[in-house]
Amino acid sequence: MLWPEVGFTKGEMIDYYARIADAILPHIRARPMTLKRYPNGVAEKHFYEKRCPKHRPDWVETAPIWSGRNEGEIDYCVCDDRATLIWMAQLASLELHPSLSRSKEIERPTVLAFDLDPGAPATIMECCTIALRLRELFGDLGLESFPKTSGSKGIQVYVPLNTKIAYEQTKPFARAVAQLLERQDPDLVVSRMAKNLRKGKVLVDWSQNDEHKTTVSVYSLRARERPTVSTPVEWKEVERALKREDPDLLSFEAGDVLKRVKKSGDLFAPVAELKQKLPDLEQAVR
Amino acid sequence: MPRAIWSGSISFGLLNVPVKLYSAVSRKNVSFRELREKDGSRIRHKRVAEADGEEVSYEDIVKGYEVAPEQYVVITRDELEEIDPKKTRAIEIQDFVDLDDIDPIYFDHPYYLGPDKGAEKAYALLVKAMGDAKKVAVARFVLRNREHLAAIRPADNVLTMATMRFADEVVAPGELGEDVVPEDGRKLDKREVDMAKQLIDSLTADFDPSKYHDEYREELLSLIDRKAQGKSVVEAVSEEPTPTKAPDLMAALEESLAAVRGEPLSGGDGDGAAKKPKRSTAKKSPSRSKSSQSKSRSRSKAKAAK
Repeated sequence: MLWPEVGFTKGEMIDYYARIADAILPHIRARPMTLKRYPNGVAEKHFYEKRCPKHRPDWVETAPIWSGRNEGEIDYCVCDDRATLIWMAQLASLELHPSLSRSKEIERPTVLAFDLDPGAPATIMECCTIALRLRELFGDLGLESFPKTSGSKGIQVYVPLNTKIAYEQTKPFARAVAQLLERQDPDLVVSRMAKNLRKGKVLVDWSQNDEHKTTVSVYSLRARERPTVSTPVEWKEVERALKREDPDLLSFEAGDVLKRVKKSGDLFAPVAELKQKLPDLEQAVR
Repeated sequence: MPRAIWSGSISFGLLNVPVKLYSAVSRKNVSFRELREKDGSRIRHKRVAEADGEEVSYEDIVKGYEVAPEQYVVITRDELEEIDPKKTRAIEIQDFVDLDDIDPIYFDHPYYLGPDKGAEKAYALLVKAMGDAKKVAVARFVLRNREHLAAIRPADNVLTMATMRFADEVVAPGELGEDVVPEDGRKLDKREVDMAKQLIDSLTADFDPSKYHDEYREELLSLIDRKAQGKSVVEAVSEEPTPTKAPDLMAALEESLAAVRGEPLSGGDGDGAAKKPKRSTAKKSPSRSKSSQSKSRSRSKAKAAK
């Protein structure tokens, strides 16, 4: 029993990952994975596992990534197929956190990601407002962006890149965007991490655009009271939820997500494929 | 006057020269103390038992050698002492060899050997004889309970001694496997080899160790210096990249957006005044949002095409 509150079992979790495999694999394939493991369920202790467990079966792929902190390489698990996904699930890796880059080109992110995290009393509703501003901002720059729920309290907005770019460019760019949003609406937006600044505001977290950080994968379960999933949504769903002031319209559990994928396919598919280029702001300054 | 770290005597045949050992390296590593961020309190490390989190005193700690995962053979201090190398005070010379015969990969830590009181003459004699013979002495000695191999050679009028790695500690290239050591017999183009040689010739110089500096250390020390003098150091070693650049980027972003949106930039006046987004996204109807978006997108595309 991994989600004791609602009686969601480990078997059900493995079944979910087995059935979502076709949708999730394009988004995690060839990327170093950080596993967030909850051996005794969501209410008990968890740990992050970067180093792929030694006792892995020999068909589980790994990728050696240099870790400055450990002054050595860490062999991360790489999940390229359904079998590996199921193996990870049976380790009680409830949450899957892939890198924003592929292991072969670890310094090149394939997306720009923003994690919108509300500080109480702000909720996912305020996140919707900011997500829509992000969409407009990137729209004006000629770039498409895609929203997903975090599966927890917030929303994440991904701007697919899939072109040659490095974190050295994406991170300052993301930071500039967050700072601009903050300047335009300081009552609602904060771009700095400190928890005490967040009260009643939305943190536009730009700092995950970093080689050493990971963000929860789309279609990953979350270790919350209920088996919620980080779910890709359409922009019109974000608008509708905001209009009706109904946060439940943006909360999906494992079963809901399987139905959604069956009905509308993978809404996040363009994130893995669409090639877009960030404008060169430094060029513009000169 | 530097402090000797050990004293003993060089012995070979009937000769016995009392000497003192000095380190030939002054470590320049910059070391930090750990402090609690909020009040600067020093951090103390405690030894605690994993089983119950209780602190364990030094006397109650034994050494365990992990023979299999989670399975240990316990070795007590007494047992360790028993097999300690005999604390001889002798640097016993085994052989004299040519310096060129020793691959530098064997050298570990360098020391100086100086004469002990009353041994100045015997010492000078040894330095002179070894210098004339152009030989290096390979010796064994015990330092801090560990047996060492060492190479002793004269440099001007002093003896240097470098501890050496034992042969089984040095990894042979073959042990690294084919990925590291390519097989021979590869066909090399003579012209390419010549070009590489030419390049080497053009970069050939006399070795001048003073030419190379530890630039990281210098930068770190100058950072500490500046901070210590109270000059403000902005987010010095923070994880955030190039902090000074970010505000410029934000301005550039704002400028780009204003250009695309066809808005005039609100110049320098009212600096810092919060500019609300013109249209609140929240109140916008979906259809309008769509048209404004596609319009602005086509505009920016047109701009990009120029």
